[in-house]
Amino acid sequence: MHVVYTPEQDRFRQEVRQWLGQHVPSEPLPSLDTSEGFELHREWERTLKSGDWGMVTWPSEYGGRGCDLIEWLIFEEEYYRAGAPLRVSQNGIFLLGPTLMEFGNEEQKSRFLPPMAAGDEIWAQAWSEPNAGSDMAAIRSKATRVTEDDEEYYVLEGQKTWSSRAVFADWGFGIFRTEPDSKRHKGLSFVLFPLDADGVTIRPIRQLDGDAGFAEIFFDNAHVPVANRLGDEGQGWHIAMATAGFERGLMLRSPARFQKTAERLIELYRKNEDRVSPATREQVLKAYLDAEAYCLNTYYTASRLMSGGRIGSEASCNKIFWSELDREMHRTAMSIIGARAELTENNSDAADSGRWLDGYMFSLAGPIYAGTNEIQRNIIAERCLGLPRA
Amino acid sequence: MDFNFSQDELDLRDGAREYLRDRCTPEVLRKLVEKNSADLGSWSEMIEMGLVGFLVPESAGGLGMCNTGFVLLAEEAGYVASPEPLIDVAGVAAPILALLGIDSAAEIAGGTSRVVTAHSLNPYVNQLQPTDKVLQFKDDAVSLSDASDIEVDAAESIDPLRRLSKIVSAKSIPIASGDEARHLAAKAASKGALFTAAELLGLAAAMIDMSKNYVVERKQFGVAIGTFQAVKHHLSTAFTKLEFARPVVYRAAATLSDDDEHAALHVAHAKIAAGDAAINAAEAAIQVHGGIGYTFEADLHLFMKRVWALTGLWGDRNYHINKVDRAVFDRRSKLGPATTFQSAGNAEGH
Repeated sequence: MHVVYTPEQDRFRQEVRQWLGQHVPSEPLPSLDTSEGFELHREWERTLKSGDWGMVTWPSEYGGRGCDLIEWLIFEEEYYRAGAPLRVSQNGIFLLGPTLMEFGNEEQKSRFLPPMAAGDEIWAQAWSEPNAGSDMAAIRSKATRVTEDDEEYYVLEGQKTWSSRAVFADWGFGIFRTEPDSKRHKGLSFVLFPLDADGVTIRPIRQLDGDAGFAEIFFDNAHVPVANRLGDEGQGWHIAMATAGFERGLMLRSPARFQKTAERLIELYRKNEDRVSPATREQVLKAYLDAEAYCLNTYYTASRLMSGGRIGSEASCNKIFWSELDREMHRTAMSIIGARAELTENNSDAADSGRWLDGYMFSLAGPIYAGTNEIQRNIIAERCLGLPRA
Repeated sequence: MDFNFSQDELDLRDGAREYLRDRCTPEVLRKLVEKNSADLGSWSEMIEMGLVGFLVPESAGGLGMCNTGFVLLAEEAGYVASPEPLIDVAGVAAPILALLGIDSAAEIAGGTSRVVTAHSLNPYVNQLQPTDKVLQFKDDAVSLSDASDIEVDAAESIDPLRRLSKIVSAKSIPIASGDEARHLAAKAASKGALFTAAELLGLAAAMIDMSKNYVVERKQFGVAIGTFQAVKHHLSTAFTKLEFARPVVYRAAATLSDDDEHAALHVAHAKIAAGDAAINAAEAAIQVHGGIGYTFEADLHLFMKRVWALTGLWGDRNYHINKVDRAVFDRRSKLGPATTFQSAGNAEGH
């Protein structure tokens, strides 16, 4: 065990740092949950692609650089260090991308991965339904197989919800019931569909911060070619669980994000040191330590994966740890900001407080999305500890 | 960047695990407590297995292994709540004596003498036997004494398998003084805190495992209580805290071996993270055990009481939080992304 970067890793870091230093926009972009912000973030994805930084871990034929996981972590550290924009393509590059890599056929990989890495096609996920939230196996949306003009199609019917940025995105992926009258986890298939297809209607939902970041998707006789199915018919649940594994596991939230927040929190504390309580000081220290622990755990897991290990149900621990840490850090910041904590970013004297407020609101979503933390704790108890199901 | 244990380390861990889980079972510990004894009598076997000379160089008859490997041993010793003073003797005294080139290191590895550690961070010596020697770190001096030349007052721990002595006076042979002594005392403190953190990880894992077994067996309302979400969530939270404390301890072991300038900070973090994880596991464990956990009938109390003792040793939580505080609020500190590990360039100086 020798936890020091190699000279090659140092050189890689320098290359990333230099490129980002020259390209990261000097002013923060407007929220990616607005139409203007979304397009500016898409532009940024194209800029990243121009330097071949779209998704560094992918093979070069799909628009990546073939980096290993440690290099990916280095990239992410530099990315957050540079204050680069959020990844509007995250549903694609972090979730669908790895899923395509594992379950997609050659045609699907070369059709979908390069535009995903380039920001030309931005993806939204379509899993939850009004009556299938934590109980995802209760989904009812259907994909019925038909032949029209010698072509095979799925006809999509039903409703999906909580689809982040579906209002602005280009494509969606989700699971649908392909076997009529099938129950629960059986008879589901994983289908990709264009969001502008006939029969697909998007209704924006205003989320906590007021932006239309969420959407409902209605399907009414929407036709998509059968070739848009990922994996075998009926394999949808299995594939969705793998995607969820990527989501909860390493990729979605890299440690640098939380280390950056902890660093900002320490700065905020220093500015207000004279007027806040000693208890706050320990909360700030705890934030630093936990962000560091999250980083260490990620490197430890990455090292294990690189020497042939696999990520399992313990991925659920990750999601619990980072989401509760994030909420903790932002709550601490809100308490330090005190009487100004209610000010939105649009106030000239809000200083950094609007950003903390935005972050706090978003941190409240963390323990809910990608499977609530209650569900994650059930998964840990049942699969890691072997406790019986209810 | 290699954040993996070596095959050697893992093999030795597996051997130690098999031996300890067979030799130091809860039934054996329970019998000791009934006899009012804390002497497991496994020391000579641990010498034979090389566990005692683990950190002693091969040239002095030891295994010549590193901190990272010993951390795995300490975890295993914690998992079975072994009463033997493995950390004090093999984790701290032996490598420090080896560093000084003193023959006692070889004697420890070979079993002709046993040296326990007394350190100003710890008010008491544990498991001092009449034939032992004591390596004492006090003020600006490091010294070695025979137990027979030391006057002690016994003290009682709530942990029935810890035997405490307070050193009242000692005739001792000085072996280091001044800066050298301070340097050695700091080194001893780092090792003691690191390996105690690892022992706490093992204790936490054991308490989670025994709770898991209990909630699968115990039935209420006609079903195993482990089917209830409230019970599951206590244990999942404890499991998560433990999972995230482990790499913190492993990183500290790695940087301490490399003499990294930040190693003391990493050790402080390790002690805090492992201590918090163990306390959380203990509280979750007694909660899901219910009434039986509050008795001598269940094994839990032996593990929980050990946790209470160890979280205070080799620097308690406040001591280590203050250490982190000084480092984090030092304006020269580098914080944020990309500061967790050293670059090849920075590490060359060591």
